[in-house]
Amino acid sequence: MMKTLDQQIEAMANDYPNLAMVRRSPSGRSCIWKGSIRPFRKTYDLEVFYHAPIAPEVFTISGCQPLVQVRRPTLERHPDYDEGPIPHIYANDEEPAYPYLCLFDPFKPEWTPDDLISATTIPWAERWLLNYEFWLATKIWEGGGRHLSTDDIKRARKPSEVSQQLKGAA
Amino acid sequence: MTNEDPFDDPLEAIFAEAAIRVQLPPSKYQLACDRYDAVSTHAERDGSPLKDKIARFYPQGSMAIGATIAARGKDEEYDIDIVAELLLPLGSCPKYVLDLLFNAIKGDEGSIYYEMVKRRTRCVTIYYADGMHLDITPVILREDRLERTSDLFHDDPDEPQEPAETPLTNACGISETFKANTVDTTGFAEAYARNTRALDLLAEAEIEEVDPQEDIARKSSDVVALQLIKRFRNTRYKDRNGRMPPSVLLSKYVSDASNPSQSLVYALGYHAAHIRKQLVTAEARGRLVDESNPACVEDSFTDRWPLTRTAQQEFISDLDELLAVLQQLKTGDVSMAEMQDLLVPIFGDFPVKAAVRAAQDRVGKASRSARTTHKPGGGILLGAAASVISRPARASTNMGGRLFK
Repeated sequence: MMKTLDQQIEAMANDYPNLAMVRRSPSGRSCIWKGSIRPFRKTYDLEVFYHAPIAPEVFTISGCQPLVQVRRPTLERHPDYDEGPIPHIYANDEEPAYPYLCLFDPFKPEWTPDDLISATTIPWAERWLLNYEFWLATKIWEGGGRHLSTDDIKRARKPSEVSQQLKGAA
Repeated sequence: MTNEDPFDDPLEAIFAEAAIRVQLPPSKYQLACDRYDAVSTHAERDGSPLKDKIARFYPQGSMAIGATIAARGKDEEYDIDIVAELLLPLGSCPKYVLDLLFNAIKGDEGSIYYEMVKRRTRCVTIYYADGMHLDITPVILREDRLERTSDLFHDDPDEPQEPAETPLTNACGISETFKANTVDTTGFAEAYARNTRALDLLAEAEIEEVDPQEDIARKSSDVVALQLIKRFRNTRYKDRNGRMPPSVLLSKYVSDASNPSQSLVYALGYHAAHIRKQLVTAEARGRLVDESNPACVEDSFTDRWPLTRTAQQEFISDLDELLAVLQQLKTGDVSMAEMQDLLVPIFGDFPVKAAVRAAQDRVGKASRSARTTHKPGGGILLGAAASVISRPARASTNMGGRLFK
């Protein structure tokens, strides 16, 4: 069953009290969490945005997925590294320095609004960050993943800017 | 991070993988044993000046305690220390004994070791094309002393005016004490052996026949910490002139303070701090450290280092830097790349970068197969075993590109 935003907020408060909810939209359907997380020995400031869909069919999974940004330190760009300039991110045209982490395959789908963000998105972000740290050290990406295929693009109905639209709603 | 496999913590994995890359691999350990057996047989051949005069060859020093690492400044070269116990009269002249062993090994022109052997001050060295050196030290057993106490022989062929000496030694005594003190009582040795064998396929193929107690791949955290301290010393002294703290002295300190642990990072810091304390205590008294073989008090471990307070202070300063780096790694806010940058000056470029790559491989495999668990509030554990405070995260596929609605 699809989790309500209240359920998401409650689970986040329990599992990641360090990621505090800092803003909630008047509609009550979107919110932003901010805070620090330390997957290994390095601390990162994250911002997580989520807009809970009214019903799953209204959105594609990629469109309603939680959006995770690393606000500090700014993610390093290395076009000459494996999977560079930054591995497995969604570009952010409005704030290019703060792309969204690409954490799951929306076409399988590995995440749905039935899932708790605290049990999926945040652990996946930790995994991504640890693999990113190794990528910076070795120039090699070992975190796995795949890139959008032509079929994926055909299956997707609306090219994005969704993030900013959703953020505006919050 | 702690877990059943100590190397599920990437920091522990990096230190262990670095140690594995600087140590004598089990396959080369076996090769060294085969080689000194062959040299012993060769030296006892018919017509050899040592025919029927060799009691035994046995490993000494790092080779005897399983702590051999690559030579100073040479990542692919190993010095293997072997004792040749000879059946010669007590009181034999040092020059005579050393020359006898040299000639017995060298043999006639065209024989196997003829072009490979060099007479040195206390030993005869055989140089192999693959970078291994066998330092074979002749001794004569002193049956009037504790078991294996022996005379060794000092005669510098390049300084004939320098007086020859016959100091006492007991290589076996210190090795046996070290091995008894540093037996693993945790799961560390088995985990370390698994990782060692993964990099040393030949040893893996042969391991089935090895008694676990005799398995050279199994090392306690004390032994591996000693290897890393020696590597650190080699790195620091690579471009310095003069002698460096001798391995036997570092081994004694580790043996004296043995404390098998599941954590290699802890063990390294613990032993580095213990060694530093011994040096600082001597320094505070205005003295040089003075240590000898507990199995033979005449066998000084500090007769050639430190010879000055400056030399002693220099290594104290080195250990301060090592301890500061360990502290920063444990409590600082450092990324993996920053860790790598901190560790390269400590252990050298090759083992650190290879170790980080190996740890990355473990993290990558765990990530791709969803074998990670996550602590509340943040913090990743690798491996399938979830602790009571962490939860597994299921599989996911990193994507990328542009968002679609």
